[in-house]
Amino acid sequence: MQNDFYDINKEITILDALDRVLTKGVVITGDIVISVADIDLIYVGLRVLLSSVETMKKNQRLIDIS
Amino acid sequence: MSLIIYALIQNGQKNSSIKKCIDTFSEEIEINLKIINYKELSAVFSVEVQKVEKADKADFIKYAEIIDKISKTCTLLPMRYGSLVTSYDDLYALLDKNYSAFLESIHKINGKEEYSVKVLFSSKNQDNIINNNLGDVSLKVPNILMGTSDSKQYLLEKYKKHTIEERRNKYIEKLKLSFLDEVRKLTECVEFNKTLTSAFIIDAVVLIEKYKKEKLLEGIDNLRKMYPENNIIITGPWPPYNFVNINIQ
Repeated sequence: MQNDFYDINKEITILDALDRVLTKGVVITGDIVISVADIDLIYVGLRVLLSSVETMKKNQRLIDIS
Repeated sequence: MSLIIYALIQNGQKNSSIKKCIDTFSEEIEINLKIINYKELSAVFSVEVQKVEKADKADFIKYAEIIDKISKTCTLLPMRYGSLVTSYDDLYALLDKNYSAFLESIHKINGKEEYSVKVLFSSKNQDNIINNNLGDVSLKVPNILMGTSDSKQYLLEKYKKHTIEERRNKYIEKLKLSFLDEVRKLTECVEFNKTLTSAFIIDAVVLIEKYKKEKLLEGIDNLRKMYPENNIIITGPWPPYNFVNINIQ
């Protein structure tokens, strides 16, 4: 039962994981932080969040249909 | 060279099992995870000799996976992706400068884990759901808005939208109170995230002692019985990302 539950929500779980590692947790800011390949991590975070919303909407539609 | 920091943990009796877990996991994922100790704290990190060339979804997932795996063996402070320092000296300086804050946070979350609870409208017709729950009150239009002129029609439309929004907020507030009734039996550590789309009713995170997991699931089941018209999704357990608000300058 519990396994089924987690399988159904696997996609949401991945989005939750991405949301957490990119926007939560202990944050280091300032001189000692270097950016990854000069990509602004805030930008990366926003991009993932936006794609998360799209996937969430898609997932929502699938739930509606079923 | 950059040191990618994944998590901070407290030294203790589990040191050998944590070390064993990290060594085994390092082989599985082919990333050489290391630990350094500073007083009562340890940092789990890896060393990147070459400049990191890209950051994509797979990197983020791997990063989350590493933190998740370590969290199965001990309480930890998860670091946000992008927590890099350029030398061992910087890492020691980081631990030294923030030692008390780190230790205090670890004590606060010790033996606890995080769960995410999302409540979503299960149908596109949200108005019907709200009306069924709150009672279908026909819109009482004030006399002052009656009329056929363009301005009256405009005001009437505004009034209708406002009324619908008001009822939606009332419904959300009612559901939020029911949710809080259930989880506050278990914990006071509840946070509401800003909802990303109108499909969301609640996007919350809770921090509970590990042994209270079954009670939390029971509470969420109660909520599902109270609001069968919605999708109520729980994910977790997660390392306590949402309850370690430390910003290191």
